[in-house]
Amino acid sequence: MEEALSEIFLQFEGKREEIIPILQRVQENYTYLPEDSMRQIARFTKVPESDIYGVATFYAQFRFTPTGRNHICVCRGTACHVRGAPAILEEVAANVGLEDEGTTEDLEYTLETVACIGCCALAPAITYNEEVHGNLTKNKVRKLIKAEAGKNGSE
Amino acid sequence: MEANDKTVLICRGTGCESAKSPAIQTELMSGLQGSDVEVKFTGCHGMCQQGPIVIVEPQGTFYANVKLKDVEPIVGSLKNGGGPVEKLFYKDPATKEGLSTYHDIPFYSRQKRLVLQNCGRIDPEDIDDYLAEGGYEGLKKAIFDMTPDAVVQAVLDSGLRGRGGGGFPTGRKWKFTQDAPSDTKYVLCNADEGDPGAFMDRSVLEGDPHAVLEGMAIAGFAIGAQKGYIYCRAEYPLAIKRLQIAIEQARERGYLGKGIMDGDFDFDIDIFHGAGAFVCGEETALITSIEGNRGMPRSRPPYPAVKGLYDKPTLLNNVKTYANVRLIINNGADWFASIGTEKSKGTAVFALTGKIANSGLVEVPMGITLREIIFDIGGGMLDPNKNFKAVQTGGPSGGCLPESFLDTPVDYDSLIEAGSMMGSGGMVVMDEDTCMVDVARYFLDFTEKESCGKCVPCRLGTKQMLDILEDIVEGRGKPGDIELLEDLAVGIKAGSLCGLGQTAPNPVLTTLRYFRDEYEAHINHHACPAKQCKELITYHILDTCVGCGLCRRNCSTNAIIGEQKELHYIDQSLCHKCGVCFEVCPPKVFSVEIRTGEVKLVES
Amino acid sequence: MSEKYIQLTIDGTPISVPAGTTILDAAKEADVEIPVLCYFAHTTANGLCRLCVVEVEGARMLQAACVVAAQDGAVVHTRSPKVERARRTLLEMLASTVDISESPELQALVAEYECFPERFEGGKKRQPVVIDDNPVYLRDYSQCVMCWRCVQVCADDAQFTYALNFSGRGFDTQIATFFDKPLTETTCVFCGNCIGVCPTGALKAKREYLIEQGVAPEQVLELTRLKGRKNRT
Repeated sequence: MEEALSEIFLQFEGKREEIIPILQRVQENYTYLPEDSMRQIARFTKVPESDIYGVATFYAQFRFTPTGRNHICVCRGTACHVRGAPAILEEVAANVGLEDEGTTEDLEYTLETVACIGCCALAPAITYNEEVHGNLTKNKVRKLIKAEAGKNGSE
Repeated sequence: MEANDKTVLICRGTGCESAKSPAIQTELMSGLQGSDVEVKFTGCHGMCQQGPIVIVEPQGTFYANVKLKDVEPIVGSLKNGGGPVEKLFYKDPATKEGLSTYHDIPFYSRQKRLVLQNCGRIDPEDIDDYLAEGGYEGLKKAIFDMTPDAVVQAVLDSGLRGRGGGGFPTGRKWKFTQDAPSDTKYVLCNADEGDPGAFMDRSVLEGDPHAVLEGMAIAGFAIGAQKGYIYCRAEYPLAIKRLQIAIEQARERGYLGKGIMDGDFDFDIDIFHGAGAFVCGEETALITSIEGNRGMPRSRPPYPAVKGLYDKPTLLNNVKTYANVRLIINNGADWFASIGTEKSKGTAVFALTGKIANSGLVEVPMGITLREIIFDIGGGMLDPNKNFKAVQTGGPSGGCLPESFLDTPVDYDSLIEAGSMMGSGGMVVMDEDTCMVDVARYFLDFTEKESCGKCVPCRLGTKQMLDILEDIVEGRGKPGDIELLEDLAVGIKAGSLCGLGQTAPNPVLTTLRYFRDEYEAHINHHACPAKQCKELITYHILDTCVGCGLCRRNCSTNAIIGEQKELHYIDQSLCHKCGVCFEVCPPKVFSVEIRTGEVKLVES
Repeated sequence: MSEKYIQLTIDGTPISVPAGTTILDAAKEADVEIPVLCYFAHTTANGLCRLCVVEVEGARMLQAACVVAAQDGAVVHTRSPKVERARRTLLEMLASTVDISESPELQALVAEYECFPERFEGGKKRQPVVIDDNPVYLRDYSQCVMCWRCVQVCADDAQFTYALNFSGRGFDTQIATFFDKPLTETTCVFCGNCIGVCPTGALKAKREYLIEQGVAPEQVLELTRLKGRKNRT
């Protein structure tokens, strides 16, 4: 078993109610839930593999493919919606080379929508690598993605 | 009062944080280093639209929209004892007059802040700040001066009702759980605030986390529980962080853990990170999720009060419900019951958002009208030239009320009677540019995505309703669709297993009730009266066009044709209706028009 | 301890049953038939198909008869207009999204409740491809009503094999194996319990299916037998 996984398991007892926290830790480590780690979680918690898969696929937080280096979440909350979130989603997608939610082939970007990030006064808002950007317009989105891409390049 | 009594408070709620308030705090601290002025950060102060917010106490000087460059004059005025920085005052939109303190601002002066009393005033990461405001006095009083029965009785007498939205009497819930025989019981806090357009619980957790912990501990004492869990959405990292800090500090000081305050009551709290499922706000789903399962509700009875977490009696309340408890214990049930209306006691906390001037967090006594909240506190429409159209409360389970309902008092029963509901506190204001059919579609899209898929009516019915609504907004509506929606709504409401399904049709039913003409316009005339539904609108350039070429250069599909300084026109077959021409056309010229209805596809 | 009995009325018939009896079982005692779909005597009842909902006087919502215990003094209506309307809409939703052509019981209910599934023709259907990944049976989830019985018999209700569970949620929920692996790569022991409890044509034995399709018996054997066995005959 990979060392990272054993390290995570060390912090748990292997009880059924620990499945979701374990899945969260594993995803934090790998950015997604690799098949083999899911098997190991099943073994560790003594819960059938199919059951672990059932739990993981239920929650929106969990992914089964690696995410891009940059993670963009567009808020689809009500306040954002009435202040133009659909157009923002379109604009983000177009600027990172995606049709809709998903991950670019070069693993540069992952675009997701989220139910509500809870800063409705800044609607429409997105998070770019966990940082909130609010009061967006299509133009600001273009500039933001360009600026962030520049940052990455210089690192 | 001397200058060295001053404290500078900088708001670091999520709204202000994303507007760079941490950098402003750092700058303020370095600028005021060595002076007697203390710099503190706080949770959400409420007026998020004006963030970042800086307040100087004790005067209550209120600085709005503070930028990094504004730190220097603020520091200067504090150090030199000069007057406040007037250019940073909040300007009254009506009189354009700068208001120097927040006590003068209608947004604050019309509120009654009880649950939010510490939010924006204390440092949420410092337990001493909370203790200085009387923190944990309620718990002390409950444990040492009261019996569990007396605590339950006080909550019963206060008339407090569940702040999660349903409005079930909190005291009765406590009584049921207290009466359930078991040595092991649990206290759960529902912080899985999932309503889109709502951030009340988040703000309380970020601004005053100890108040929630104290309420849960009092509940634990009253019902005989030893363990509590806070189920908080993972999308709220700041709330989780501050809760974690608060729990650790409370343990260190003996307000949580074994032998609280050296008495013989043991109670501890852990945080469970929700993994992204709106349905986990439903109590049985939340419980099954903590147990490590797919978060699917089960049918009740048995209620969690009898058979909850790990089959033990379990008390489950919302964040704001727990935040109210210490106030009731400290000030007495009679005091609490004196606020609000006959059947809805205390205050209501709303996240006021949408097309409103003052987006933010407000707390009002129950019974105040929607009009007062929206126009007096909220400052009216975001764009003063637009007309109010509707206000949505109760999130995906609630409804949209039109102008004629603005004088409805805000309490559990009046809102339900009007076809909406109190909900957990989202209040989204819509103006004439909001299409109500699209709003209904939006909410159904939300519930359809969040349906757990267990029971048939919700799993298939929400999908059917969404399909029909999508057809209508995309111009494929047929006569009979409205009746079909109504039929489905009745079937889903009557048949669904849990509250999510039973209330899912509400946004459709209320928009049908109050804005039926919009549905009819979409179906019968292929027209979207709000001019929002892409498939039903066309863009046109009027003959006042001066041919500046701005729209032509910005058009991504080259649909705009015309020579410089000559009248332009739009080739409708190429137009993707992105609206950029409408956005960029100079206001002086304003020659782009949106039309809807039975339109020809080719420009004449 | 002697059993405690309670009295209730179902569709006007007074009846006495032991405390804790579900409304569904109490109705059987009173000779009142309540339609069911997900309920199966030998699997855990979940009350999820909602077909068995009944109206209990004084209750705010309709109650699923298969899971809700009858209360003393309750007055239950199993065919009130509200119940009939809920069932009709439900059956219409099922019939318009799920292929019920091989489910005679469901078809009979659709006829009995005078449903018009055609009203919902515009809606999207679930049309996953038929999964043919083993010699024993086929999985045609376009006919699946998500009653959960197969998952339950595969797990603690019978076989303790745990090959089947769910994936996804909402409209897209599907019965699935771990990472959608072929059954031959899972813990499945081909006990056939899931085929036995399936109320529709979603799970069916491969041989039966092939014969229905008009394939000659010899050919059926060829198609469903592993190579090693065939050599021995």
